[in-house]
Amino acid sequence: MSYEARGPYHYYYRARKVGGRVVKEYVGHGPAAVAMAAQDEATRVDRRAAAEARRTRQSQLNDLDRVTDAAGASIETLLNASLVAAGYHRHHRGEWRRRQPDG
Amino acid sequence: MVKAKALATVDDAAVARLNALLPAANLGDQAAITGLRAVLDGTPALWDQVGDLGRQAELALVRTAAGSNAVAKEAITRRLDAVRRDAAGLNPTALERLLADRVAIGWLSLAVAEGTYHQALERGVGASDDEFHQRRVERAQRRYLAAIKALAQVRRLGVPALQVNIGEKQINVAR
Repeated sequence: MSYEARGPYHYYYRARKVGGRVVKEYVGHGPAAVAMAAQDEATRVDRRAAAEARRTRQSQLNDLDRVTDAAGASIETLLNASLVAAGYHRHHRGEWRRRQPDG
Repeated sequence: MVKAKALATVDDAAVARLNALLPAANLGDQAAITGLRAVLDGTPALWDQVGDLGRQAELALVRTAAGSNAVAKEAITRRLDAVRRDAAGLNPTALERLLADRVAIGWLSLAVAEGTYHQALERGVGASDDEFHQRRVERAQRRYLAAIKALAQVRRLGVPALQVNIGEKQINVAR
């Protein structure tokens, strides 16, 4: 989005991508163009705020998952250690079995 | 929300030693098994710490699910306790209790992942946000199923008594 000055006049353009190329689209000039530009700016601000809120939310959920995963991983470690210490073994991360006594 | 410092309550060195010894101990290496038992016997507080970490996860999940709604918080906490009780069954060992905690956390984690995805859908999601939430739901499903499977395995094995000291009391970790 931009204004282009030609002589005493300012012309308002919008830029959009068409088939990977940026295409400028003439919107207008004068008061109508000013109103359109203000509306476009408000839309951009809203979009940026929504994106920021989304990023914040995702970051909070990632933090939550990290705490949940950490708890699960610690429990898993204690489980595995307890079972191996009690004489069990796990074959290729599969089922747990009682270890056969040597000899 | 959840801060990274909330993870600092577990004896990371002991957990790291257990994880380092586990592959060899699992293959029957007697020195590694002895080392494993030494770490477990020498760090009895680990059970409490891991339990606390689970409770931290629960609190964070409840906060996320209920927000500032006290009634919702109470209802979710009661449901969470019911899931935990059902999973633990009668006379659970310390290990079964810990695994029942993990089942409860898994259950709530899945409910929260599905709930936040649903909220995002109601707001309207873009492709990347949609993928983010789908990944979280899938991960939560795996977490929950793994927790149920681990508890079922321990029950099926009928693990004989393994005693550890928790809070200066000797208790049976498994049957």
